[in-house]
Amino acid sequence: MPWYLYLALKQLFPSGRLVSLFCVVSVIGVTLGVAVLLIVQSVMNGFGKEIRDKLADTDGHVRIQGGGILYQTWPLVEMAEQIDGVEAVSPYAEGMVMMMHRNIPAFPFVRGVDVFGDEPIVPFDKYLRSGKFEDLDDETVFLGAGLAASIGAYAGSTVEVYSPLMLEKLKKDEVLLPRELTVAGIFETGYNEIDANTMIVTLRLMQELYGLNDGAHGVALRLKNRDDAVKVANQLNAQLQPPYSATTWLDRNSAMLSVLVLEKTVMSFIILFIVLVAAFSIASSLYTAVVRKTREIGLLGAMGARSRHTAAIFCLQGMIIGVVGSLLGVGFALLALHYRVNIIDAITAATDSRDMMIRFYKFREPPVHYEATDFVLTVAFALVVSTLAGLIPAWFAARLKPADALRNE
Amino acid sequence: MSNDAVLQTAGLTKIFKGPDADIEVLAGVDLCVRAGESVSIRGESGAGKTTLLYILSTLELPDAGEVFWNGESVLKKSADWRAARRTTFMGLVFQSYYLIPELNALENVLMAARLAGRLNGETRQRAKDLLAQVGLSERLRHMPGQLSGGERQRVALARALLNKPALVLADEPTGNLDEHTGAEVMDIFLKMCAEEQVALCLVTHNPAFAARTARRLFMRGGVLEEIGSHEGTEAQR
Ligand SMILES: Nc1ncnc2c1ncn2[C@@H]1O[C@H](COP(=O)(O)OP(=O)(O)OP(=O)(O)O)[C@@H](O)[C@H]1O
Ligand SMILES: [Mg+2]
Repeated sequence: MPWYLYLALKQLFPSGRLVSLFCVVSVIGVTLGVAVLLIVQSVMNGFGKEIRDKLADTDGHVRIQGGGILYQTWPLVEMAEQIDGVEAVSPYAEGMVMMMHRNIPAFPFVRGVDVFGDEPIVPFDKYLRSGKFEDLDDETVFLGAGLAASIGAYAGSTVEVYSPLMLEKLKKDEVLLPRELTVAGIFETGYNEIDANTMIVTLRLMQELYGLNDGAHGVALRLKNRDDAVKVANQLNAQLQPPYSATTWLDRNSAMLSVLVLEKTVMSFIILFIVLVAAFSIASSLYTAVVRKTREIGLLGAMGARSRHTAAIFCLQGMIIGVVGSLLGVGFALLALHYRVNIIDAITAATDSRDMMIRFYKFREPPVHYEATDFVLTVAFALVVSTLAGLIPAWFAARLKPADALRNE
Repeated sequence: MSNDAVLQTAGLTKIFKGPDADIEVLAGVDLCVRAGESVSIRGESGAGKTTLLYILSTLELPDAGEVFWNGESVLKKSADWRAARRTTFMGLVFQSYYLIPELNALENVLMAARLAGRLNGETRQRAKDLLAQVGLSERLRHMPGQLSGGERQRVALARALLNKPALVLADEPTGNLDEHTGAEVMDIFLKMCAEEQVALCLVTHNPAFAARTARRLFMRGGVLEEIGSHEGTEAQR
């Protein structure tokens, strides 16, 4: 082991004692910074991923649209089915309707889905709170939980639906009869935008309500892996002629998605300052050490140490603190996230706020998603910053001339 | 230039720029120390003894003059070369002991071997032997803070001798110790330098210690004056 590494280690872990106070305090600083950064990032990833999951699930990963009503969807469906990674394809139609239940009106967004395909594009089963997807037919409807609550409907209720097409009839003074539908079940995605104003009907019913005959508004695709969305859309666009084009769920939700990214970036940036503050405390402690040890530095020079090696003692201390602090920080973050339910339970039990927590946040277990880049970037940042923190004192140490240092009585 | 001179200088000059006036601390110092020879240097406070030792070890550079280690001119060499050479060529002992507080006695001694890249079983054994010779065989794992002043200086002495240097430069090694302890440490010091056949350049204020070296020099007006050798002292009696 080079002597300067040996001395750096010895100053952090002196003989006879386990560890120096400076080492403990500095390592804790870095550990806290790294741990908090990773915990916040992972929880934000978790929530972000849930939102992305819902956006992707409820929207279809890729859609083909043609600037209006498509009367012949089967060539598009066939084309899409040829592409690698596509799991299911089906036409859809969507739009607004007016709905009444016991004289309470609502103006929900209706999605007409093809129930005859092997699998639905949107995995409703996952979100159904009551009812079975098989019950969806031309006389029934699924309501979002928020929507159902606002009009006081529940499974088994009958709702009246008025479509825009009926306005045409109204103009011609025809008798206006609403379509009566039975609520087959309630779904809840947890994404309020959708739950509060969406209802699901069969594609055929939607075609009837909107007078589309056999037409649809587009074709929706579900992929095996939603991360392939851009690739698949590009492949489709290469084959499609205008006005047809394929868009991904990423395009359609870009505003929401960029807010998610921005949120995480800003949060991480703010928390980075914990690591920076830790680095400043390392730098100031090491600088004090250089001043305190001026004569020993002189002695090392007198014994034949080169100034760059003497400087390395201090630089290495910063680096070692960075390494140990980051590792502990990663470990601490993983541990805290693993036991997050227990931790939250303990806190809410102590503050008597468990019910409130569940009512407001609708969870007991915050979602967590680990991303390798977060870990790599955070650890790299902590390492670089704490090494830099050692570099400044090291520079002062290197500038000391042994004779001057030794005279410094 | 004599062949067995471990240390030789020619016309060393050092001028410090002071706030009021420039001080010529060294004004042409010629010194020659032969292998195994012990030389003492006395002089008034501020005469320039410490400055001379720093220049002899090239921790400080003279304004003029030459320094030879084992007959080799060293001032024109690179600082790295001199640093590397210093690890094995010379040992330094100072008035303050400058032990590294995070290392125990044995580890402090072994720092000399680490710096020279010579840490091995042999040097470990030699470090223990040296500490035993200075009477610290029971204190190998004591931290500097747990040692008395005299004990610390003995550790510093063992450290200076570890790499079997040809020369030891000592700047008032007993200056911080009381008379009795100082005499004790000086006894050990002189005895071990003689045993190891190391040339010694000893700066001291104490005439009694100076009297025990083979050659005695006095620094005055920036130059060294020979005030006698053992033969001379004998003759004076
Ligand atoms: N870095 C420096 N800058 C300016 N003057 C210096 C410097 N170092 C030493 N001097 C001056 O050089 C002179 C000799 O100093 P030095 O330390 O060599 O004396 P000394 O003989 O060792 O004295 P003492 O016996 O008190 O230790 C002193 O007058 C001191 O003021
Ligand atoms: Mg002096």
